[in-house]
Amino acid sequence: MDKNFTPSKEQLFDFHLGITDPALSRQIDAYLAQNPEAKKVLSEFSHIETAFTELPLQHPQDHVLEQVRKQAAKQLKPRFFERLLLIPRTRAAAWVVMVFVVIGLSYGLHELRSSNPYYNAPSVAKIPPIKFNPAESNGTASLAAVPGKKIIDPLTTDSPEAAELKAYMKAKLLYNQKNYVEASKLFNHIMITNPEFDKRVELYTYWIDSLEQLGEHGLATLKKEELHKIQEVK
Amino acid sequence: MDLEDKDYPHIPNEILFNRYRGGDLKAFNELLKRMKGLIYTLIMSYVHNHAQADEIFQEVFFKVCKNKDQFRESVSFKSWLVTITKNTCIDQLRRKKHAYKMDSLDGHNDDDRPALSEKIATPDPTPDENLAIQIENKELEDLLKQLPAEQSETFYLKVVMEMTFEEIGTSMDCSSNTAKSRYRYALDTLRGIVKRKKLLEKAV
Repeated sequence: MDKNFTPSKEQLFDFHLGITDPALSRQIDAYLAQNPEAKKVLSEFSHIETAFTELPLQHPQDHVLEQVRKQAAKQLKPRFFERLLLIPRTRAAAWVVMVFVVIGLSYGLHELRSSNPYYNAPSVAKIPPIKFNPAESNGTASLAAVPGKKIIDPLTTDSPEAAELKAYMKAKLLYNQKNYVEASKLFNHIMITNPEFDKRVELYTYWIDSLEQLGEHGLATLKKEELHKIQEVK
Repeated sequence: MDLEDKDYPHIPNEILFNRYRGGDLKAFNELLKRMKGLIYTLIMSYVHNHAQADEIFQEVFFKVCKNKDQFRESVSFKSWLVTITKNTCIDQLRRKKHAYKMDSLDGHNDDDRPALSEKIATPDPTPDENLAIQIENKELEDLLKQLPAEQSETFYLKVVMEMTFEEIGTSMDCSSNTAKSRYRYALDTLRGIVKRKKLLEKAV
């Protein structure tokens, strides 16, 4: 051991901090044994440090800590879009597929219903009022023009018979326009409203033909049988 | 991994904070329990006002929670927290235009300080005495105020917060060697002040 060893200020301070390697520590220990003044300084350092270590800490008030805890909890809650991102990909993909399937099924069902004229047929058809102006008709125009002559036209009255007749005329018009779907609906409505409709034989003829035109041969056959029964009764 | 309440006090700060980031609120409460006194006292060293310290304390932890994803595990949690605390204190002081209570660094240069060896070599009036310190808390606080700001802060972080020089360097934006030098000067200055005030008295 070198008896003339004198540690540098950094070496002494490192020794105080306890970060000197063992060999150097032994040399400094020997030096301090010979130099009580240096040993005293290091001792005072330790005392000062100890005094401050024991210094009581100051603390925030409880309500402040409570606020901090609330904030911490709030920061853990993800926002809406972040929550969406947190959904596992497989689960998200399953949701997307399900939404598409539901949309597809809804659309398919809608298409199926709209392609079948009888499926959507209302139990009571909404028949728009037919604006019939006798003055425009060749047969009645002259009569209407005669003053004081009262014309009783079944089409201008509000009786149920008049309504049926209007509906029947409209149905025939639709048939002539080759709108067999709407014509069939209207024939059906007339017969539901009044099974004893006096032009029913003629109506059935148009109806059966409309159904044939639509390719509804089964229904057409059914209507033919009904027609036969009506004719037999008559 | 689920932990029992008794496990939390033994978990390092960084792991606790990671657990908080993963949704563990108990981990945060444990961190708060550990840090509240240290951080509040540090704040008080800047503002010397409880109302303002409460406000800053809340702001510090709000920043910690809000910026939780910016924390890097390679940095010590204590350093990160101290950095946020310091910056928040300085911002607040700037905003409220209060004087920085700690001594200004103006005109101070560490290199002007007398060397530790010179101090050690200076004959003490009572060289053979074993010394003890009997200093009141208030006097200790006053002692710290007499140090330059960086030394005072370094001393507080080292002794009270038990941070390493690496951690102090990170939070004070300097090297660990600079932190160590500042600490050495702080300790040496404190010893000088204590001796002048005759606070060091005979133990026996």
